[in-house]
Amino acid sequence: MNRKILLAGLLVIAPLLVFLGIGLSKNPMQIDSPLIGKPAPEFDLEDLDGQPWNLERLQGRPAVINFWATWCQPCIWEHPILVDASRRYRDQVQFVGVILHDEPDRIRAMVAQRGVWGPSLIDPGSTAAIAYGVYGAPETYFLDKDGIIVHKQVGPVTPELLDELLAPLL
Amino acid sequence: MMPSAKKLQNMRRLPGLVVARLLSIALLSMGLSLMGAGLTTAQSQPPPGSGDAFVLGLPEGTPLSGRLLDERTEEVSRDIRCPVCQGLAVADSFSDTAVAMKAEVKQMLAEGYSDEQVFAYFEASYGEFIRLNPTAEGFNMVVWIAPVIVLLIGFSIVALRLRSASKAARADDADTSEPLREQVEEDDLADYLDRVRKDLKPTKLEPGT
Amino acid sequence: MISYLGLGLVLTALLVCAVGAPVGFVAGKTRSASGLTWTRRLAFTFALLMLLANLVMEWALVTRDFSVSYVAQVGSKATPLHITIVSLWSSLEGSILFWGLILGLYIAAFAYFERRGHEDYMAYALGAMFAVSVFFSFLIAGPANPFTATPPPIPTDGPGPNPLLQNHVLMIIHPPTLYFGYVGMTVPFGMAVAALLRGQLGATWLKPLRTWLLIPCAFLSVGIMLGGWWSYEVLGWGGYWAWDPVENASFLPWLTGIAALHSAIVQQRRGTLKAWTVILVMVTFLLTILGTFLTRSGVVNSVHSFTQTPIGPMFLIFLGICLVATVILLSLRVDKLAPEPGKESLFAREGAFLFNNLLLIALMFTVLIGTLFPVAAEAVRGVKVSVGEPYFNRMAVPIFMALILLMGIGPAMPWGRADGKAMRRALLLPLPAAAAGVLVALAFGARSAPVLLTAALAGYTLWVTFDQGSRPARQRAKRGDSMSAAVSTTVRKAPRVYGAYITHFGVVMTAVAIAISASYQDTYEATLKMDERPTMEAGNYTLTLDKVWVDNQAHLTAQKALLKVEQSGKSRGTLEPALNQYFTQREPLSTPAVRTALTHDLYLTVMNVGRDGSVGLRAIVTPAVVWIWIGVFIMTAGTFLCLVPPKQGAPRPVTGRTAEEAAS
Repeated sequence: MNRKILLAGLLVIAPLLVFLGIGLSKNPMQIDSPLIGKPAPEFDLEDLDGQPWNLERLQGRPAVINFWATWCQPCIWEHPILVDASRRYRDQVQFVGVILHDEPDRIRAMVAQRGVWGPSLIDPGSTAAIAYGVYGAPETYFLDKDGIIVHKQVGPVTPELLDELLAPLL
Repeated sequence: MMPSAKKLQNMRRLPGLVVARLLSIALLSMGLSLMGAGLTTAQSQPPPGSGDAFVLGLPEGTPLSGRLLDERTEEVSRDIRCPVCQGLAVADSFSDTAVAMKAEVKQMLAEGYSDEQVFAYFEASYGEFIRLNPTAEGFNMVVWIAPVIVLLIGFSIVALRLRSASKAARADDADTSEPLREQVEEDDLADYLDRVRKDLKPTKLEPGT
Repeated sequence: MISYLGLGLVLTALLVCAVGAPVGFVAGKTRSASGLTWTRRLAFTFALLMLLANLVMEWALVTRDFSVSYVAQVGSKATPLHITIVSLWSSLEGSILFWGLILGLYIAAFAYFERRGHEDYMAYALGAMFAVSVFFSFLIAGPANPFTATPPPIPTDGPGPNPLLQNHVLMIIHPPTLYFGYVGMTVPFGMAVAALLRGQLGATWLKPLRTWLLIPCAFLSVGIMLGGWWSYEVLGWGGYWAWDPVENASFLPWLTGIAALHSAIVQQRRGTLKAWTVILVMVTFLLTILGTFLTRSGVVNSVHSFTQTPIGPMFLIFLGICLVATVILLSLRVDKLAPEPGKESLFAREGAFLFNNLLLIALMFTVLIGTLFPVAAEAVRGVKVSVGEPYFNRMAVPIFMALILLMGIGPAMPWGRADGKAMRRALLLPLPAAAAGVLVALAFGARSAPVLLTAALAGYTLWVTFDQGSRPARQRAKRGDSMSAAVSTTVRKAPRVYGAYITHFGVVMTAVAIAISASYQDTYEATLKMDERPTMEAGNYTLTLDKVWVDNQAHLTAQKALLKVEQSGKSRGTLEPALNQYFTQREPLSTPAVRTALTHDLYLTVMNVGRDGSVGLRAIVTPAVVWIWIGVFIMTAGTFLCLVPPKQGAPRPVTGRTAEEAAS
């Protein structure tokens, strides 16, 4: 029995298997945002009609900021959910859409066809997307009354998730 | 690299070992110094203490322009991960996001922000994942130091091995006055001992085959 | 029907290797001749069953039998026949079935070609290979069964294979080549297990061990290179190696495999380093399993990752079993592999081999820790970090350079004991060649330190390679043979030695080409528009936009641009880069158009197409790219030359430096 090899081997194997096991249990796509608990980054964007829009418009209301595009299939799935939620939380929560790499015309067509759930802000140069650390679409940020980011959702939202996350913010 | 008198003497006895040792030291130091250069670049500028995304503070570098700015932009974007791509750097991708990020890098460098300030800016919104070059602090030190440690441990094992082999060889020298030239048949070690036995008998050697 | 037939075949294959493993081990233990016969018969049966199962799947694919779930997943009536055939390995389940076929072929080939003279080891070796096969057969028969019946209603058409994998011929040959490298490492692993169980590793077993290690190493070299080439020709970012986790995963076993080949040479010469060779061989196999786990589990972010599947945890369990079994086996048996008596001594040449192993292992460890560190950091700190190209370039390139220097130093050193004067002379003599390398690089306008250093190392190593390689032939010629006769005689007498030198030459060529192409890439960007500004300059090229159009295809919309290419006023034809929006992918993929010349590549990509028809074009001029591919081909040719058996001749003289002595 060569103890040296046994010891060295186990010293290498144990952490390797533990780390890989932990790694396997995590979602490689889920990257925790460092912005949680921090004030939401300010932006100065325009909506489809050219009206300026920034976070001052929130006026102490909680907000849902959703980054989306028409080329993104899950965004199309979650569209009706957001339309419905924006009606249910009409005066309590501000829903804001920021467009990620898309043509305003396509956005207009989509909104006309499937309904409006908030302003659709054009983000030239992706400045807002970069400031929020967006990895793809759809990604949704939840802001409390003080404009602090409390949650980031990667991938489409569900009505249950929206209710659960918004309840404590009201 | 002039060997001392004692070393010279050793060299006459076991020149291969000494030369190998010298070479190995040269190889190792070459590897380590190049790696070290990498490490110091990675370490050179600690991130601003605040860590706040929106207060970058005052520019810590010098404003750049022209060709130098383009080159530096390219270099810095090599170390930033393109968030919407799979494993590519911002410098290599032309997805809209990467192009926009590169533009921001260029602007910040033009304003005189340091490389580390640029990285910290993107890190504040994207997390550490955005750095393709891990910071050399805390647990991340492992990824920088561990290869060097392995190289050093391996080096000492090889060195010890050669040393003990040299001792064994020296003991051999005491026995045989004439250095033994060894000849191993290409693919058959079993044949080898027979051959050595035969070779040790004085035989007439024919040149070539 | 086909589903049941396929499942029946893979279940029988599982049964065969589940029986073969214990039969092999018992036959090894009891040294039973009939047991060995039966083990070999089972090996051939296993290969036959895997072959039939693969043929059945091919039949289902070609006849578009959508009742088989794998066909429904990757087949489509619109897919051309040759793509349909190769879609066997385009998706997870099929690729594991194909893996099973290669495993079967390797085991059967091993059992056949090594049928004589290895009775001591054979049964143990086959038993160990069967044990590995049990896992893969279990995957094929169970969790990753491609033969599952499609739940009704059975579709009349399918989506076709991943579009990204069907747009280039390299994607057809790259995966099988890599698999032949990966899977082939099972054979030397089985042989190492046999050596440990038998408690000896003699010359008779070492020789086939080297052969069966060389073959997968050669396949890995080509497979890795083809992957880089594919990435260069298809992914459109202008590079060929991004230190992606999957690229790294294929690189790791290659490094340890090479290390094992070199330590086996020392073992053959000196009868020492036996245990070390065995450990390296086993680590090589374990790294192929680790690499497959990383690729298939989605545990690391990668271009190539298959989506998360239930086989991830199974691979981890298998990896764990292999690791623990290997360590226990080694710790119990490795001390039996004592060096042959009286041959412990190590000299300069052996020292060079030891440093070669040290550097290869350090390089492997660096790449390994860089690849796995994000997983460890997430487990320890809960934070996702990246370890990317800048890290690997900083850490791995210096080790590479040291390796190239060692490729010059090692062969220059004599075997056995030699006097210091001769040795110093041998090491100093190539220095002018190093200086010449630097001068040549300077003459070509190179100024960057890494390129000049590479040139110096390459000059040194090339001198030694040619000097040592040509010495026996020159000696022969001096004695009156014609030069061509002298070369052919020496090559036939010692193909392994020449194979090694050719391989080294290929490595140096690849390294120089990589250094040049990485240091002197020129990028030009411009927005072209048909009527207003149709022309851009890129180095001495003039590119003129001739046509822009949209090509709607079944699974993608391609925006294409046709460009006329002129070089210093001479027409060089046209290039047609495209921006492809695959319907299943988020970001558009830019498919480059490449003009390859011996000195440089012109690499055109469309960055974007405006609605007004303007084209954002990127032109990259990279020198020496083609020499990377050529270098790897030379390397591989050299590796295969090593496999040619030497011509048996009269005994060589005992004194004087012969080809055998001077090299290997």
